[in-house]
Amino acid sequence: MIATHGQFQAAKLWQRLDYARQHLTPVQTDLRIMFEDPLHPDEPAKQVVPSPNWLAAALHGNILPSIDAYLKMPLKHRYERNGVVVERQVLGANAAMLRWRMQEEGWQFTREDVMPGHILHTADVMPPMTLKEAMEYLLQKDVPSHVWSGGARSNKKMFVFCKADQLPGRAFRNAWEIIQ
Amino acid sequence: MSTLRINTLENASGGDGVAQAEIYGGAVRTWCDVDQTGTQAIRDDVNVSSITDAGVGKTTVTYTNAHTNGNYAVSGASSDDGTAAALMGLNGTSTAKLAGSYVGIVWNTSGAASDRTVFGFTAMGYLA
Repeated sequence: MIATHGQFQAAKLWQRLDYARQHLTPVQTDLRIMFEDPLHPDEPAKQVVPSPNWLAAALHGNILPSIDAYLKMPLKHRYERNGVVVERQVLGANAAMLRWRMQEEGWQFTREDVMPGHILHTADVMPPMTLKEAMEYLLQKDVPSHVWSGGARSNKKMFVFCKADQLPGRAFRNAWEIIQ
Repeated sequence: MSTLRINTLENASGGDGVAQAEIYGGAVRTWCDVDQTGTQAIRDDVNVSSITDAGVGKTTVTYTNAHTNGNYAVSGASSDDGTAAALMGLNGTSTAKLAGSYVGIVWNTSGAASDRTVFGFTAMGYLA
């Protein structure tokens, strides 16, 4: 039975998730993150929906790793073009941008590996978060960093937190965009 | 926290042995049950932090604990919703999956993307 902060910290992430799954009540929320990807301007606005089990873990604390475990996750990408294979090492926060740049140059993305040295299991566990803090954490974890960091250099609003009932019906889903 | 450390599981007669690594490797690490219609919702899941509704029929499932690499097995099924039967697959032309997420898309039999009340997804493979 995991009970203390030290025991949570010593357990692997998947073990902590297993604990959360067994002991915590899922938390549904109507909060959403809407974002547009400046690297893919022809795509509609996207909607991030938090998992109720993940949200319960975030609010409980001691389960999820610090956000750095995701943003600094060491990855190795493999790309192929005309029979030539190249490998690139990249941090989690920059992975989407690298894929886009390579694909712009005609390279096809063929494989991703998580490199040794990642800190998913050993990073400091997060203390209990408020709902707002959890949504901000999720923004950094599950939305590409070039959307929220301003790295894509745009004066357009690229993301917004909203409630599900503020979203339009799905009749024109592929035409959704964020109102400026 | 209790941990049972074993290498092999066998039946009472000492037969039908199966290595622990085989059980671990074959376990479903990640799954979710999603409603793609309306405002979208995750009914239940394991090891999923969020889904991203990326358009009609298109859902990205993002994992809390990433897989070791993109070479894991995925399966999925969706409801037919009383219209054309649905197929589910990996979105895009790339042959590669990401270690930390999967972009699934549901099509009807006419080849058009389609939202479904049930979008069921499982991933099997090693976790990082």
